[in-house]
Amino acid sequence: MNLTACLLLSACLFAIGAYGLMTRRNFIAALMSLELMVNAALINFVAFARFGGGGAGAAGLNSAHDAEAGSLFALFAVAVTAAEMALALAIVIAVNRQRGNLDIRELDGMHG
Amino acid sequence: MRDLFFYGLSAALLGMAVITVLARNLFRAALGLLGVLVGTAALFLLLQAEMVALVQVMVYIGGIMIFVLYAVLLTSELGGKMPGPSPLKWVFGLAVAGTALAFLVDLVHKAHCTLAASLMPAADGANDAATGAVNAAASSGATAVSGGVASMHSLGLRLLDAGPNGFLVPFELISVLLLAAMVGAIALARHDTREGA
Amino acid sequence: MGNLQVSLAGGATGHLACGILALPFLSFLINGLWLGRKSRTASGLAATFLMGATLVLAVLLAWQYWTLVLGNPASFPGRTALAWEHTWMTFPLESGGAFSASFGFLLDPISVMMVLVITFISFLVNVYSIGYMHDDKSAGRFFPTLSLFSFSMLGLVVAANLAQTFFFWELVGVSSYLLIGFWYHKPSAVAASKKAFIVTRFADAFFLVGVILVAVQVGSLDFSALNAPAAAESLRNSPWAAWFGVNILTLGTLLIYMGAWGKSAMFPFHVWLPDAMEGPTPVSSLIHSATMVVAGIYLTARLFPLFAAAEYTLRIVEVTGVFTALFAAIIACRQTDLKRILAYSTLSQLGYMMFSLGAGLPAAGGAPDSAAFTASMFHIFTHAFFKCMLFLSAGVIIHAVHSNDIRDTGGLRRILPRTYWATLVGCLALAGVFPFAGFFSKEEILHAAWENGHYIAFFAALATGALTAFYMSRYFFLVFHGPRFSAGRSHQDSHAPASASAHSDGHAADGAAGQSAKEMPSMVWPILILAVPSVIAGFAKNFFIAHVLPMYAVIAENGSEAGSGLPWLSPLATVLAVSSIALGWAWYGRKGRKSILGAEQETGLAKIVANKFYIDEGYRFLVRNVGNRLVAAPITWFERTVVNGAFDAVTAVIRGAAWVQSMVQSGQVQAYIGIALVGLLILARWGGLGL
Repeated sequence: MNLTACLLLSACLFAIGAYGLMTRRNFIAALMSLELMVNAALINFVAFARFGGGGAGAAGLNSAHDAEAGSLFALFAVAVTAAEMALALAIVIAVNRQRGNLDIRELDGMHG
Repeated sequence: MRDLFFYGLSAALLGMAVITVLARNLFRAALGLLGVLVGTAALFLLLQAEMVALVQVMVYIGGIMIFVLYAVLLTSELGGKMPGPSPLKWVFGLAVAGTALAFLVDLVHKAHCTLAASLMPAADGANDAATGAVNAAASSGATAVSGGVASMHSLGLRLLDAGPNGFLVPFELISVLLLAAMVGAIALARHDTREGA
Repeated sequence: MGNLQVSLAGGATGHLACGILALPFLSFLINGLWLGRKSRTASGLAATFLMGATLVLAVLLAWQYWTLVLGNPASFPGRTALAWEHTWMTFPLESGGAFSASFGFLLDPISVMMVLVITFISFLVNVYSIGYMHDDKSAGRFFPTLSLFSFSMLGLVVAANLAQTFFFWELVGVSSYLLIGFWYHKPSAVAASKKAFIVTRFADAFFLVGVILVAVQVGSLDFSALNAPAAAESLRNSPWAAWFGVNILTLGTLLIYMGAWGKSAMFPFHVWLPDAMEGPTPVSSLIHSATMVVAGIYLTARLFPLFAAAEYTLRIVEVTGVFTALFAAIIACRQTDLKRILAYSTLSQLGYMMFSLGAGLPAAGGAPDSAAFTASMFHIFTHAFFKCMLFLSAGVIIHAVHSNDIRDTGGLRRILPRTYWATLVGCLALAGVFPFAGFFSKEEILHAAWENGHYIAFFAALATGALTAFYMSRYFFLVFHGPRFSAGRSHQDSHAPASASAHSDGHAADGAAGQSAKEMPSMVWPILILAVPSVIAGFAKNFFIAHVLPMYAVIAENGSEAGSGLPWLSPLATVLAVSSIALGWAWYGRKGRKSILGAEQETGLAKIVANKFYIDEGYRFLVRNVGNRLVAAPITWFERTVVNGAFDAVTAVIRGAAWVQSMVQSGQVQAYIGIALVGLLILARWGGLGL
């Protein structure tokens, strides 16, 4: 287990989430895929906090390493995601009430 | 042992993620997401980030996941099967995901190479603990080093520190954000009686 | 001569000059934007008032000019001054200098004379129009356009350089287009305005080319620089000369003269002028006396030293002038439309002026003669008054008779007594009878032609003079003498024998005309005022000799003393004029007019003349067969297939691109996210972020 392995795991998780986001027709399912992508980002935060590697090209990278900041970023990201999810699910409920279904293809009010 | 556990966990995570993305049943997908979130919490523990793991369990699993399940229960029949994606969408999604994966893997590969290259000259003469840690992290499968771990105590102090390196202001701001999101969610989701009348 | 142009800017002269241009434009703006829609009467009064104020300013300016410049010949040998000048556009040259087009107000004898004439006549025409347009619903459109016309013409005559001249030249063209087509509900008026515009535009295209050619070669647009001998020299010795095979001096001046050719309606560009009679009569009066048509003469006079250096151009000026004079006089003898007779007489007189300019170069060679130039300017001056008056009188007649046709008129002497006397004065002046204005100026022209050895042209002009006297007496006797007119009779009926009922109808119409349209004060007073200069303008001859003659002293120096010598010329001209009038009386005044008019249109040469030598038909044939088939049809084909095809191809490409774009704008959120994500990755990878 090292930084590269964690980053690769995160990349895979992100790609899977992206695929789901592209293909899911149910609004909630798409949101779940979005959560996968956020999780991938969280893993990145924590992995960098754990192993360092910020400013990879610089010689004096280690003096800038700050494990606490990495963890705190992850915490903030969780909080922001919570806020985002709350709003998104409120929208889901509103849309469901208005249209009777959650098919994402029918939410095409922005078409040109 | 730790490596074995990591790879096993990673495999389980990815498997759960695939279930989340592909399951025809929405509830099953939600359970897959739950699995991913739990797995991630375990991964955080493995990375010695106990605080993040704790928050992950409490907020994500305890808060957001319940929220999602409520939304699922409110809007869909539990047993219903969702239709699969159309071929066009399937190809499109695969292309986008593939592009993203290729990009990220390429990036990680490059980072790995530069990391190894930049640390190579420093490796012989360095006795600094952190340098050694990164060096070890970059070059081999070496495990935990004390410099990369943040204890819950220090995190708490840092979070409420008003000094130049403290996170007091973002901490307060995030609470305002959460409040605003809460109000907004209520406003969005509540049934507007005036409109209906 | 450049150093002779002393600027008078800053003083009272400069302010007056500004006012002269500003007031008519102000009138145009006020009436055009606001007052014209409110009230016809107020619009007319405002335009007249402002034009009157302009006239006052013009008189003051002339007074200033008189005291400052003419009273001071030592300081102003060229009698030229600039009231003000403002650099308008500056183009840096490769050679280091700058080529600039300026906007100025030039004061010299002819420009001051023209400013006075234009403001005077515009003012009177405005007064007249109040009455004439009283019942016209679109008078609110009339007065601003009239003001614009006056403004354009004033700007044209005071222009200090060719750029400004061209600018106002086109403005004159546009405003005359608007005025000729004023009654746009009449198809004939629309056709006439288009004809005038297209014919003059056609000529103006050559003018512009000439301006550019000359300006590039000389390096300046200023008249002072163009009229300097050095300019002619540099044009004559231009390295381009061999290239074109002709002298660039000849080519450039000829192209510029093309503009004058069209504007002054010299043969064969004369076709637009008679048709321009479709406009309201005050407009015809203004166009044919003081303004539009003399612009060409004026331009030629303005560049007289340059033209005089270009010998062949001046020959062409002379030939076109004298031919047009004779040609139009012949046509005028057989026209039946009141205003057309006057229009052809105008053409004839314009030919006179043009020919006089052309006669400025002695046939035997030698220095150009300023006397001919002076005579031409003098004729512009006198002709403006009596021709304007004749047109205004014609307007009164038309108002009274409600017809343009000479066969519908007759016996108007009693009904329109003041118009009768005024027209008599005008006819005598135009015919060149002593002591009326036309006598002096025509004699000057003939004199200059003889002195410079242009004998053929001299006799042609003499014949033209006799014809002029003849057709004006025809006009006069047919309108005012003989049996009374019968109103409302159509042209076809005019050949039928007069019946008792027609006669009594005539009486009834008499009464009606006497009550309503006859001699409204605002229409008659301008005519009577114009009669005064028509009589006495000829006595300004010595003034012209004193001040216009030495204008171009630099180039013209010879012994021809205007007014001296040729004791037989005045008697000869007078005898010719009087005998022609007598002939006219014998044919049209004494005998019954029916027989004459009936026989007039019949056969042979007379028919050709009555149909204006079929020039219009010739043009039509030319345009239809040559223009349409050989030029327009290939161009149309080219346009339809190649040009339009290219555009269609371009639009097809754009439409295809738009279709692809709209495919992207599907409204599908997932597609948006995918594209945004991929785009972001591309930017991150290759966008310079170093990832």
